[in-house]
Amino acid sequence: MLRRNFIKKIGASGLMLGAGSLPMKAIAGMVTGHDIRKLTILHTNDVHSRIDPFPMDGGRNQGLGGVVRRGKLIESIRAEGDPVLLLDAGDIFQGTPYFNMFGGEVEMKAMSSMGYDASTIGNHDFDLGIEGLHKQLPHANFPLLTANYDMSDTIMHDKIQPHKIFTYNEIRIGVFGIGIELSGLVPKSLYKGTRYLDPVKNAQEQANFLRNEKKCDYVICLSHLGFKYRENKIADLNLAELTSNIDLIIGGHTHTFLSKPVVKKNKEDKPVMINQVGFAGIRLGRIDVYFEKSRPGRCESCKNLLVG
Amino acid sequence: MQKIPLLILFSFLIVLNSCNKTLQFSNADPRFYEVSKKTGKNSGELESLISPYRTKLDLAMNSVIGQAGIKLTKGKPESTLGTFVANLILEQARESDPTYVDFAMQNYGGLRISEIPKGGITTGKIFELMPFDNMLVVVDCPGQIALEFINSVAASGGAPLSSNISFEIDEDQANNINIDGKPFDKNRNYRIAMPDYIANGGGGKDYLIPLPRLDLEILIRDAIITYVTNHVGPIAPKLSGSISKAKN
Repeated sequence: MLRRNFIKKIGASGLMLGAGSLPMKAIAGMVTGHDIRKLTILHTNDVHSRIDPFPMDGGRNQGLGGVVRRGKLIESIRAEGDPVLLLDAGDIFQGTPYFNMFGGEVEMKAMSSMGYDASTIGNHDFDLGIEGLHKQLPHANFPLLTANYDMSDTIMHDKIQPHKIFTYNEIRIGVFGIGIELSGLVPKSLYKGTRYLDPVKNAQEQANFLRNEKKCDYVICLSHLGFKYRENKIADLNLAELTSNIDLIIGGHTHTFLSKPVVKKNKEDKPVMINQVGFAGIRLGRIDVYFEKSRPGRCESCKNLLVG
Repeated sequence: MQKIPLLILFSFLIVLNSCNKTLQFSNADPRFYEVSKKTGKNSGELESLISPYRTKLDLAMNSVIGQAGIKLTKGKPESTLGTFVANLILEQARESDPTYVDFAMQNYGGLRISEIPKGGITTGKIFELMPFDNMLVVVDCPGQIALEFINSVAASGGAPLSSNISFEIDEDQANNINIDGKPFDKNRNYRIAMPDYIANGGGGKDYLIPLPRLDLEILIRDAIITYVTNHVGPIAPKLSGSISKAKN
């Protein structure tokens, strides 16, 4: 009784401080004695070899993007002190002469220097063939994740992995990759023996494995399927609805600029956040995720899940 | 005096509290940053990583090879940028192929920028427009397949086509097709210039794969660079209204 009152009192003053905004809620949690932990997820997609900002030529995107600026921005976010998970959803290659001249070397070196933790493979990452992608891997110090490209009969067989688990302050984050069907999009002479596997089935297997076997607290799908299509084709929105155990889908391919992430209910009626940040590194996405260490069913800060 | 028991009680509560605890996801707070010149100055490790590559690239890409008299934009059903590329593809194909070429098509997705601004055009801009190493191919299509091809262009809302073909888009079909001023004749063959990506069945055009074709061994990008370099005066393609939506 005494404990409940004590927490109630301090909790109330904490809430007054907070006035509903999230970081304040975290502070309120600390005041009430809740153990709240934070992780910052940063993400890009479809950067398409945009090493330098768009030129100042009167074009729509003039002056935007550029890896040096992105690097500075990431550096300043890291300086805030919370752990950072930096991810890319594919189509690293193709779109500026940097790719035509240097074959993707500059892109991989820049991403490694910025400290990317993982990327998935986009269709354009095959543009210089599977050999062209393979050739640039020595310049990448982060893994390429794909759970539905079977590359066991290609030179990439030992160069990819379906998922990776990251641990920060005991928070276990499972990240896996899902790619788009290559047939019809990329000439077979480029992707060679890569076999496309069912994205829904493989995403579900990965998510179940990461959640149930590997006890991940948060599961992220790096997807290059695309945000949504007019025709009935698998995309991030229906992937979210058709699966379970995925918390966040970081998407790409359709170059979709979202003003804020979309939240869908998965097949167990739990929320899945879906985000994408356009293309060319014009934007850097950021999602701060909060976790509370508490007994099951007692999580005080879990009541404010974003849906809608 | 009273502080000490409270402190003991508080530490006891913390110890009690930490039994059987797990981490539970509680909330996600999203936002995004626009990466612009406000983001930061160009200096540091990344800059020194990139600058030797940039120097080599600038040398090759920054030369102005021609002038755009208007802003060329990409769009559907037809556009100045699309017509410009398709017309020069036809011109190049007719120059390189001894047999007559009827018309040219450039796939919409193969043009990778939405516009070329008015003014100087650099080699680099053409690389951005056409980053793919697509080769120019002429495919010999029987009338029925040529019709299927034109209908598929109509169904997609239009694609860059040379100005000598015209039709009306009615839902997913092309009506009143004219080529070089003559009505479409499904009893003859049409020789169509296009990127090898399409001729190899890309964009759902599997039916083109088995057809006889002539590979001209010319990169479309090189054809564009040559055209812009040799063009006298500013480039200002006009839309003829040759591809239009049917008025119902």
